[in-house]
Amino acid sequence: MIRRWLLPILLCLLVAPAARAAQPTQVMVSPGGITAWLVEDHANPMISVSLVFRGGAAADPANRTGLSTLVSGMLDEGAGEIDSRAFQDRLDALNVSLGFSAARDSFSGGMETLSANRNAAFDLLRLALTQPRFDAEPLERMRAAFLTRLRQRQESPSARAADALFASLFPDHPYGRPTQGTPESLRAISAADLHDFARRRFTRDRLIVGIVGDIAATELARLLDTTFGGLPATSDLPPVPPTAPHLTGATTVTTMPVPQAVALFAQSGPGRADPDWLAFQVMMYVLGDGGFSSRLTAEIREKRGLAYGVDAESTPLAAAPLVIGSVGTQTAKIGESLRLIRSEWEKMRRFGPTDTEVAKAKSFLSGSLPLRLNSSPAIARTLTALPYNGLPPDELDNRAAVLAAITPERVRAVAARWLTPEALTVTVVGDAAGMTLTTLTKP
Amino acid sequence: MRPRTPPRPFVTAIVVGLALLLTTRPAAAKVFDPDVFTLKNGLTVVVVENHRAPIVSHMVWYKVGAADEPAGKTGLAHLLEHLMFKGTSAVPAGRFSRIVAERGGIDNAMTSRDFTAYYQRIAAEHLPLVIKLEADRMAHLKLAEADFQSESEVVREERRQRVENEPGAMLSERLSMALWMNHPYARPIGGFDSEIRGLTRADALAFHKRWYAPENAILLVAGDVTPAWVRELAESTFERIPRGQTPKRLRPPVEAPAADIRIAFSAPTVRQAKWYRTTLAPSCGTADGKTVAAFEVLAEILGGGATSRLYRAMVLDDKLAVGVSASHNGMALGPGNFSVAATPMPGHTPEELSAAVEKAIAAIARDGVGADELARVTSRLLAERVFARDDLFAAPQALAQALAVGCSIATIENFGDDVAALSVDDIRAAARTLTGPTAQGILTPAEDAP
Repeated sequence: MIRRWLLPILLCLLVAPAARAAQPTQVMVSPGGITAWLVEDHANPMISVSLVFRGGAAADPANRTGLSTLVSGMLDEGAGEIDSRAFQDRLDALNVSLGFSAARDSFSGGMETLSANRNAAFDLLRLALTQPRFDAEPLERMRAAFLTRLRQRQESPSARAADALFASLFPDHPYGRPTQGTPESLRAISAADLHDFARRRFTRDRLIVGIVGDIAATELARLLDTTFGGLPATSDLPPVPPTAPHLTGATTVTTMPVPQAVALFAQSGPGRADPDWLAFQVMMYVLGDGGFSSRLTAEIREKRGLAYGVDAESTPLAAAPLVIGSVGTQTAKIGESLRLIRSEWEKMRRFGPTDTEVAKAKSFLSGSLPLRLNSSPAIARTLTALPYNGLPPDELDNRAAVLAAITPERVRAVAARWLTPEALTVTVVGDAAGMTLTTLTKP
Repeated sequence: MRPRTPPRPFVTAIVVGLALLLTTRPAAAKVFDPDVFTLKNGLTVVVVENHRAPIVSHMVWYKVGAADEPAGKTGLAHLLEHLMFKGTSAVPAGRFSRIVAERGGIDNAMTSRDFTAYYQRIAAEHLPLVIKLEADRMAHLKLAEADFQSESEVVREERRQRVENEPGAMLSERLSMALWMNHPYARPIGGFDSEIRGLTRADALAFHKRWYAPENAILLVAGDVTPAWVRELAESTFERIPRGQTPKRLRPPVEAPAADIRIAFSAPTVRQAKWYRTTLAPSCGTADGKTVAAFEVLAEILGGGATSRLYRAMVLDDKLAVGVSASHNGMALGPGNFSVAATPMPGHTPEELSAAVEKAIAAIARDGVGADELARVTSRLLAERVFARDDLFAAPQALAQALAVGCSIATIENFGDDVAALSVDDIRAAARTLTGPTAQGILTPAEDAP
């Protein structure tokens, strides 16, 4: 569940440099003033579009949580003169795939089309963004679908742990509210709320566009204007206020009768623009973000067989950057897993990674950059993730050199500065009666 | 399909159904245009050139899965998949993934009923290294007892996370047992906990010796490579491994349900009702390409998205369901199966969903489908080949997967022609086979669920 909302912000780190693709990245501005990043690739007759609007679920009104999520399900349910059924028929007839998703800080969309159908496809995208209908029938249908999804989230210990974690970290901030909403808030949302959302969120000053595929820049310039030119220039939506997470170091337990307890743990981390960001990523790779190379996996999974999955990684929310980790362990031993995690956290703060660990982490972070060049949609998402994070088109080409210059001393200093094992705040979902958590709060 | 580590988004795309395999059809232009050759020891090599980025997807597929486990030893194929990372004389336990990661690569593995597969995704310059690593562990697996014990605990945690913590997965497990009876497909891929606990290091080594041999494997390399280079690398590594004595894989015939079977599953954690229906169906292992294609198309017509018959009838018109889907599992050495799943609207029962689905299937069995419906779905499947060709990682795997379940690449390449040749009557004939007895599963919320 967590990975879902991380995706739009983390891709910048994970994705390969677009400039290393067969064609270079073109940063273009249409005659009407729409900016887009384009990688032309005529090898295959298709086009991938990635869109990001700044502003996500955290900007939903307090009594309308889930609004962004509901809108994400409603944009292909009719627009302009085309009602829901006809809209779906048209997408199907054109073989266009169109989808949207909401995260805490952003609202994203993606479209894939055969290049032969590009004009019709971009026209459906234009209608979806500028003239959504939000008719009663699809609204009630989608409302029922998202209410169902809420019930299904209650069946998942990891989803419940995530909701509990955010609620405890941000008791007085929009980040604490569930992005999927609550049964009450979803029931309260009206078509007027949806129209208000479209008007205030889909604005040109919030829009980021990335395109990959079989289209020339001149042709795209025209399509950018016809597709996005009709959006309002600016929005009056207030920004999400900065906040500090409520990091108490406490462990809270939600009881649920499952054989494996799921724990999430969090502390503050650097934001994407922080000068410590990359050195911190190197450190986190060693600690918990390096898969089978991480210390958490070595200690908890490989040596002791206490978990199938254990990890921790940066979650750079705009208003409160975090580090979040997770582990799943049979009920009776979840306390042991958490004790080991705190102990590794403390060890890393005190001594940092070794020179060899730093070298290997840097080697992975540099060497893995091209791996996300595997498909057009993946490259298109990179083309929006970079500007979303305020990074230049050649950022990833230069990343290896920047990583190479990071010294082990720097990484150890970053570990000492940022890691706070005593503030690591934990939510556990599982069979509370079977847990032995008494020693949890201290390393 | 059970990956060795929790699936990240890119791992989930790995099982590629037959619908996607249509993309391998060389229509106007060839799609993957694979080079296929066999080494002297019987190893099949498949190479898909794609020079878009300087990267490579390297996979080794073994023709062995959960359905090949000895009786009473469920979970063995999957446990061995984990243990393949526990070392050889040349590569000590725990080093494999680190060697790959230190060069910027990622690796993982997965087990299914009919195959076990291992992969690395890495800069193309490191292909010689990963080929050497895979050849080494095909021939020289070494297991310390302590590593065996800790990894047994890991796979038990995996089962807790993916099955026992998830009521829907628990129901699916029971539903499979009801459908497949005494057929090996009845076994859960990850095994029963009680049987996992009984597995030994000797079991794992014997299973490895029996099945992990070059003549029982497929090497797939897709990416920035040439077939000549891959051949040279394979010859200097895999070809040195002597041919084994892999037994012939057996998939016995299955008893179709004699009457409808209903499994009701309720747990205190269930909050939302859900209904499943499954029946036996042809697969590429049991039927010709055109027969299988008809079921793929039928699944699309019935439950492929918001324009499908079931969605329009049950979700849009009658408001019985909030969602419905249909799928055909036709990539199997033994029989396949055809599944429908639906989530009821509050106030409606699984019985109503069942009745609506039976009605829709009966209508096609009686009247066939419209020529326009058939054309629409055919067009969708043809478009998907263009999108699939775009993805270096996921799509070429279909080639190796087909070989691993005993079907040929030629069968796959003809699949597109088979779809294009289908008539309304072929779809009607497929629907008729689905009207017999079914196995149905009902997930029931606890009485006190909010």
